[in-house]
Amino acid sequence: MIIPATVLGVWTVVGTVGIAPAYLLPSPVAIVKSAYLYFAGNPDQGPFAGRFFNDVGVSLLRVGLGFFLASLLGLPLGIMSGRVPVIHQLLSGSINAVRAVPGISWLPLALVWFGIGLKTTVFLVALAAFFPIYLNAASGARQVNPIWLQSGAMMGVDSLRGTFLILIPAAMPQLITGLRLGLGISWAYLVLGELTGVPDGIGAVIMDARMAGRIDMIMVGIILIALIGRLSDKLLVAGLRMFSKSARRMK
Amino acid sequence: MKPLLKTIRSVSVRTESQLPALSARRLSAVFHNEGRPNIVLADISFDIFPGQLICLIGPSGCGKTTLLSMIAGFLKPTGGEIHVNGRPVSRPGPDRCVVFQQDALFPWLTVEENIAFGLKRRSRNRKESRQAVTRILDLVGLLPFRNYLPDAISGGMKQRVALARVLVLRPEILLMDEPFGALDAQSREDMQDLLLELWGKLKPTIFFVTHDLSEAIVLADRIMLMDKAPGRIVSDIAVNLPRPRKRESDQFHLLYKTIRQRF
Repeated sequence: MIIPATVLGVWTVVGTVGIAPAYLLPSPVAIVKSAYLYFAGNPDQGPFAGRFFNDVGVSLLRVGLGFFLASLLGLPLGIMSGRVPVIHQLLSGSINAVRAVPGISWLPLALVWFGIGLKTTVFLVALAAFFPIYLNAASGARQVNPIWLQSGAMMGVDSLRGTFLILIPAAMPQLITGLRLGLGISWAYLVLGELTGVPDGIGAVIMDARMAGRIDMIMVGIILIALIGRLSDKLLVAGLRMFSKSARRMK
Repeated sequence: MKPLLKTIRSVSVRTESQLPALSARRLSAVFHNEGRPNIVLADISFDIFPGQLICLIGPSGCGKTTLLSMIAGFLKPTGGEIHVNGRPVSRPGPDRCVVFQQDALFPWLTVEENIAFGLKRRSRNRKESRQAVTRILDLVGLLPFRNYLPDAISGGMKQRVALARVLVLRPEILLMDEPFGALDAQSREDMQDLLLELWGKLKPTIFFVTHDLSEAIVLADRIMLMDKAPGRIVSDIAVNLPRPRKRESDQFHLLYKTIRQRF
């Protein structure tokens, strides 16, 4: 709490003393006002007023879909590649090659393939979130103590059930790490996807605000992404803890 | 000296009417180390009868754990056969459960859940398995710790849980791979006493690997002595000391010395 408070203090002082002009660095009070209008205003009160719920809803949908797709592919492929050497050999070369390409260079291609809007953003988010999820799942599955799998086998657990009863719980700390990193990256790529002329979403707000010279709204957008990103991370961890004993009990 | 020598005699094969619980025939294990064959086990044959407590003892690196892993089904022998109550062993199964030397409990499950893990895999009714778990928890003295996670209990207690989680499955053979080797001296003796007590009550057939001769003498009906390079059984000694055995008795020391001379 000390750092945010200090930043806020310095920011207010800089604004009031007049070191930085308001069109470059609006005061915190101005930002709170803009945020309030964005959140609860009527459309006739300005270009951004009242857009909050629609923007956040749309952005959540894009991040949610992209992250879901990334997990749907990344977790099983990662776990298999961590346990089955053949699958690892098959996948690791191509995946590392694709991973070396900066995510932003997919943007033009995605625009051509999917057009502007939901699909492009979901594609970018899914692509970016896939790698941390896959890589952490693979290393988590690879490092599972073999004695746990042997224990399971001798107690009558076949390999399919062992995957769910032993392998996944045992790898859970790293699965969680991968999912959290993936979710974090999802928010970054959401903004990238939404900077390309979509009419709604938090990234679009930031882009529109830049065109309109509304620094205050750019900052509202940035703060909003920080807050929602943090909140979604907390929810992800809480959700996993609710469904998995091992997420609750293993560090 | 004379009466004691009687306690050290080769084991004659028992009456044919009794089927061995575990039998090994001409087992061998050859591993390849950078192309070069390394004969780990050569021509191992033995029979263990129901309810016997056998200790396998030998110098480190003689293949004791390899032999145990083959009986457990974790490793395939290069040659030979293993039968458990007449059935050939091909893979791991709850008829042959292992208590490992290392901590092998699932850290995300409580003591009770660890013990119930194997039972849950069987189509038993819940109430029955609950009772079985509670009974075994009581037998190993861990009832007050049933809701603890493995991280919160001592090494000795963990091994009691490891013992309980396999005993509750009523395996035909209990395989123990230096299970008390990592414990301090006091806990080790406590665990030996506990194992003997449980063995008396439940009468499982036990195949116990150790490198500690006094442990073998305290526990075993019969000690199989291995030598290394290649690993093979060099003697099979019946231990007829009366139970409960006193670790301080003269008989104990004499037997210890006599066997010690053989390896």
